Amino acid sequence: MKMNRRQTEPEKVDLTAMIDMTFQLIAFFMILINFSEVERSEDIELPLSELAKPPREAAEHEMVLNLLPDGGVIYSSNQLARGDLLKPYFERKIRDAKREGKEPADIRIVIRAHEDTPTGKVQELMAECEKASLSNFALRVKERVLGTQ
Amino acid sequence: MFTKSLKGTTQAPELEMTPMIDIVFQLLAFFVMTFRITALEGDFSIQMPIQTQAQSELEDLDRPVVVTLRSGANRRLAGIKVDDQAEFVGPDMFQRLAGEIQQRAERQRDPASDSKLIVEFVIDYDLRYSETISAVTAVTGRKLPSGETQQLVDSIKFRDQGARLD
Repeated sequence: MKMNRRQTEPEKVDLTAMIDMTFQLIAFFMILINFSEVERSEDIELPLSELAKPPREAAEHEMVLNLLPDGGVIYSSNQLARGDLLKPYFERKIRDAKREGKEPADIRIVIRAHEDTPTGKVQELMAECEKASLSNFALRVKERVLGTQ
Repeated sequence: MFTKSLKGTTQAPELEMTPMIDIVFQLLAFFVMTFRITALEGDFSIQMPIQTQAQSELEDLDRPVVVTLRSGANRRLAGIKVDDQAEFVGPDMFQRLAGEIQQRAERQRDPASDSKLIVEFVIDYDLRYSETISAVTAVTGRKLPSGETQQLVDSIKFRDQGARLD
């Protein structure tokens, strides 16, 4: 029996549109992915401020300290019961900065404190930093979208 | 590049798309699963000099404006004092604080003077941090209708240790 050649050929699907769309989605997610999440702690609910503005340029040397309401500190996934346990981390950071000709004052200490934390605990943490000659602080807050409480 | 078929006609070579589509979908799945919408975060700069100059040694114009934040029930803000003068209380205390700082900033906006407006906070130990940030926001500046921020102060400091205020 003679077979019709047209009937045996698989039908071709045009994949161009799907591949275009998929690459656009990948580009979208790649642009928005934020690797700095590692330094953010899930347990911290930041206070809100309408003047919150992301820094224009990232500091060369920065330490992000997450402060819990009980005074515990999370630094780089390490949970420490008190701020004074940060001393070895400060020393290491200062050594790294000095190797690049920077002073301790050039190291920016970013404090991400929970909104319920007593302010005295924030100041105690700042005092610990000052003991290590670190005096450049940034208090991190979350942007308050106008019309929200 | 073209190949010749048995019939002698030229045909475009077929590209094997399956591995590419596989990897593209894996990448897409990775990005979709790791994607998280987070609110924008910003910073307030606080300078804490290691050795502060004694208040008495400072010129009058360089003396910081001392803002005292007193904690009340539920560790909420009970009152704000500016330079030990009248205390602001009530729901509009942040607006009144902002108004007071704005007045001082305008007084100091003399082009002949190179003095800087510095605000030093004295904060009750137990005061909720969110209340402190609201006060810091009030003195830092205000948002103009254009969306720009008008900066009121040159520098914000915290007095070293949180004290328990009565």
